[in-house]
Amino acid sequence: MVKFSAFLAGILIIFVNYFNSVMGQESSVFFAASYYHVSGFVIFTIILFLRKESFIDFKKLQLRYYLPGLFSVFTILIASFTMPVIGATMLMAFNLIGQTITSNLIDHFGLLGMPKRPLEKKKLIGYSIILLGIIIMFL
Amino acid sequence: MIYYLLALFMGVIVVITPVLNGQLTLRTSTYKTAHLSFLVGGLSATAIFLIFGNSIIGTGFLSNTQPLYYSSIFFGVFLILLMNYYSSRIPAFLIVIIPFVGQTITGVLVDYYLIDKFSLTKLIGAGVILLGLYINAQIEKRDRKKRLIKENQGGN
Repeated sequence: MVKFSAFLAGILIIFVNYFNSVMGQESSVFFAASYYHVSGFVIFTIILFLRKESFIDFKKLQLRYYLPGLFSVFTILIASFTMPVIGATMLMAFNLIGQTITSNLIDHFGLLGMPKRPLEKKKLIGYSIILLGIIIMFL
Repeated sequence: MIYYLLALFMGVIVVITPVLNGQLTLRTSTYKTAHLSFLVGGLSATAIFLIFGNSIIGTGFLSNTQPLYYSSIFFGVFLILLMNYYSSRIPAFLIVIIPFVGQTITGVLVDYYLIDKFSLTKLIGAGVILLGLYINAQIEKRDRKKRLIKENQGGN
């Protein structure tokens, strides 16, 4: 169930990116990013109000938890600036390399509050097959 | 060169974002986490728009853009709630790979529907990735069983 929800997220990402990029082309990427996040803020303010939940306690909040919101905007802007220069395939490839290295570091060392999941030799064959699949995709 | 580094950096932040949001969700609630994320995102995006963006008044885009594209946020709401849910429950590597497979398969179908382009290599590649994930999941399952058997034997 958990893994299926991750798969579903992949489907939603395509639609979000597609709609945002069309809006970005018709207006500007800055407006599209702004619209997306401001409307998200409005919707979740309404949801919190309906659930009678308070906003997050800013006094107790560690600084690093402010990063996701900022990074979300950077993601949209970086994709929009780099794609015309290096192309979608190279963007996806380097993006994937960055994601793979970062995720394996997080898992292996247990960073950012995630449990430690050291890389296991016996899973090497599975990882190699995954890598083969990625290479096939880029052919 | 810098564009390749930016693409790499984008990969780094695309992983860190759901991991941090997942951890915050464990400490508060998924709605508070999503609200904070969009609050910070909204403030920064608006600030950047006001500094760098061109005026939308008079471009006529408001009349040109179909209402459909304004619905991106409804997908976005479900997306962030899903991410808050699974990000703390699976390894970071799976946070990367499983949505990637979902994106690839959806992308192949959308390309076929919109522009009549069918990429068999992408579909095969996604299938091979799923096979690799399945093999590793089976290894994990087998290890867990062995561990449980050992613990039960130790208890007896």
